[in-house]
Amino acid sequence: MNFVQFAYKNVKRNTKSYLGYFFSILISSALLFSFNMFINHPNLDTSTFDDYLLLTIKVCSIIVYVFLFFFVFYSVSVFLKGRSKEFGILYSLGISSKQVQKMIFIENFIINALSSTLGVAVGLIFSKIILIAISNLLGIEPLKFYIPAMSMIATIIYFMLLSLLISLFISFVVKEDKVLKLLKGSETQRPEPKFSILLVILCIALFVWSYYKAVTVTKIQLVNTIAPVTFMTIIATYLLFSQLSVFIIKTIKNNKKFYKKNTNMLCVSNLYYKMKDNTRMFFLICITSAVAFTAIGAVYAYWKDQTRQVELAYPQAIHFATNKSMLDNFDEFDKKDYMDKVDLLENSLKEEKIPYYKISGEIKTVFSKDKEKSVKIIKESKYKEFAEKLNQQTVNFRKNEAISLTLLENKKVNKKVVVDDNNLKVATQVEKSVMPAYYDIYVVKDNLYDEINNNCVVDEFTTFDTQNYMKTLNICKNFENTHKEELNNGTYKFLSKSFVLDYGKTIFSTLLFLTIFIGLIFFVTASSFLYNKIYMDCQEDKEKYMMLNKIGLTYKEIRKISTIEIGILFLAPYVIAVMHSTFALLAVKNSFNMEVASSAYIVMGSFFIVLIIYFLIIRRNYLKEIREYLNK
Amino acid sequence: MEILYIKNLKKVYGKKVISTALNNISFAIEDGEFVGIMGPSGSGKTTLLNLISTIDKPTSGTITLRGENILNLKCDDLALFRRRELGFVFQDFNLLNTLTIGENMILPLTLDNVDLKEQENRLNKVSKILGIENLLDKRTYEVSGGQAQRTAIGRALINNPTLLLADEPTGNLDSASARDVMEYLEKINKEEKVTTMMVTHDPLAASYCNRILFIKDGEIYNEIYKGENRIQFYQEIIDVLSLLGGTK
Repeated sequence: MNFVQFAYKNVKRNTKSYLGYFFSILISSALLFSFNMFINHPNLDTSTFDDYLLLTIKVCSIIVYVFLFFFVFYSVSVFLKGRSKEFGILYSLGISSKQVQKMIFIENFIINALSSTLGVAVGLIFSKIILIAISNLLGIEPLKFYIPAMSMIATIIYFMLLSLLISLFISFVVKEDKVLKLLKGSETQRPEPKFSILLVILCIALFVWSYYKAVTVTKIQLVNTIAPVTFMTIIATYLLFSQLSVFIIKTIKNNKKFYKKNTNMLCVSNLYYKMKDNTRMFFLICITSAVAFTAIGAVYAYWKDQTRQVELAYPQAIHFATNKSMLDNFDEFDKKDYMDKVDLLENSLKEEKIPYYKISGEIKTVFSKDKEKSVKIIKESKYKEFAEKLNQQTVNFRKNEAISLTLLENKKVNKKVVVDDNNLKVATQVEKSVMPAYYDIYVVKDNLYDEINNNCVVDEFTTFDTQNYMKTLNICKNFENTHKEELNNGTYKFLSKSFVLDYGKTIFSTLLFLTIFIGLIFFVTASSFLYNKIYMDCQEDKEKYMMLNKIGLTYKEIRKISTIEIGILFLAPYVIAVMHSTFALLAVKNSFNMEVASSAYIVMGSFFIVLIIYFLIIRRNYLKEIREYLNK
Repeated sequence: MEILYIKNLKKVYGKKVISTALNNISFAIEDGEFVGIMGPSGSGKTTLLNLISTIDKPTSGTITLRGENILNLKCDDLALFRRRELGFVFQDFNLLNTLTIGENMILPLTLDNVDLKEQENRLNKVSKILGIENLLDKRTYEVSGGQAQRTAIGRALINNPTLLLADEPTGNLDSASARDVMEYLEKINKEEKVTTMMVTHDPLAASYCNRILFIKDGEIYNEIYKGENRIQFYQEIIDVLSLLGGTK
């Protein structure tokens, strides 16, 4: 028997304990593969994506890879800790650390290679289903099924590399002197968990501060608030599981009446140690779940809110305007060319038999004396004409006043605005505009508008509007394609509601899909991590329950204790993650004025249902194992 | 009065290849007795103990504890029966390291929802008898082996069991601690009138008993009673053991 055979036999004869680990790698590799396959899909045209979206996809992939590494590493270390007796024997027989490393590497290599290859196969079979599901979800045409050689190789190589990395780091987990002590029983037992009251207070303070910030944040502060609040919440979460939890259980322990009743003493004293032992696991699961919930919830809410936002930002179906400030010389302006294009649009609408109304007008861009600032204005009469067509209430204002058409939810404008030499008071800011949100425009009295002739540029615009604006999509696409150059160099401004909505749908659907996928990967890996942890615990608990059963602990009581213990293991990180995401989504709601409640319910609710099902399965298996051991 | 009455007890293992662990064992234990069970490895002592402690079921025969046939009990009733009627002392103590010494001892009471005051009273009483009243708040790894075993005895006694079952209670202890633990078991038996049955290898430990049953190949081989003198009893035990081992 050579060394490789020895390692191979270790795996082969330890099938049962390796099985959980094997399956978790299998599922993660199947998911990773599908994820990889999707973002590298040849039909998915990423060239139309904005840079930020491409960056998001990159960051997401990195998060997935890094998280998977941590997850697999923790899984392996939990698993190896359960085998410390075996390592103790090997060390006492004189195995070297290098050989242990080699053995772990070979074992992991076998498992990772097998399970990731199988995972890729599973992924390949299910990707057809996944692709159809995605396409339905995204509302885009189904992506074609393809055999992605690159993704296959990438996934398998990644998991093989993992086994190498893990064996390099594993010497931190399996320490020679420690396992030898364990074997000989001379290892001193774990001391009682401690907490510092100062850190407990800090933890609560950080929570209150972070949550308060999340609730009160506004859109403008958001960018500067996200980083510190996230950071503080992460610290608070770690303190929660390492300090506050110990403090709470200690407090429960001190309530003698409760503590010394029924199975409470067994349960509480056990949790007292388990909480501290599992701090890192709780922490990791909690943070990743919170990230997943928040990301999915926010993107989903945004996705649902998109139509409303686009309709708000683009009151009319098509807006076409000149942009003279881009010209070097205003005399270059070719009025006929502009009119031709307007006619072209109008004719296409007629051809398609789309009912429409048309409003033309002008926008004046007024420069300040030093030419540094500019203000865009339209006439009150034009404003009223628009409002009437859009069935909007108009706002009356006085001579020395103006109305800001910048949407209130986007930005709050100053109370005063200087137009030429006139100091105008901003009478009101609208919640619904009549002009595209693209212009931060003001409405002024007609005579004031006409009086301004110096230091200004007059742009002409034409808008077409129709009830069923999505019908204009093809017209707009054609128009944009035929006049690409002029639109791109900015001499004309062409805004199409249908175009923006269509584009946004693809982008946010992709984002939504990505976040759901990452959430799924986090969830599945975290769950199988829990499974491994509980399986290892079960091996220890068996002995304990056997002994307790001898001195008279009934199976019913064992079931009760186990249910509480496993339940807490499952629910503690979930509950905290739900709390975090609730506040995070509240922040999103406050800053973007979006309805988030329903998407939050759907996301967290569906995770909760899956979690409960998973909990019941694991509890059943755990109890079955204990029961079989008791009846042995 | 008879506390434990065993009649024609038989235990057979295996289906195709049958091995008889116990064959036709009958004996009784009187109230207040301290009985030792001795015999070579594989003689069936542990099987006998497991049958009496209701962890295992016999192939045939009856076990009656205080007039009740314990073989009629099912599953969780058995656990409750063990909790209320039997006390257990194990070779490796089997204390929970997440609990303190005191908490380990009152565990059976908390499981039965005994009133807090009553818990305190019984703990005080038992820990005083066993001389561990100063260790109650200590953790299991902070006490010696002898003290840990006395804690286990305390846990077994706290419910005033009908029968105390000890399985090699000195097996993991050095000779001083072993003597210590045996003196406490003897004291409990004499002063608190706790009926005790102990399985052991150790002739010294056995010499604290009133009566010893020797088992060989699943059957009762011999039975001896203690006279006035423990040293002399010890000698008698050694003699029987050498006979037991010498009949090869």
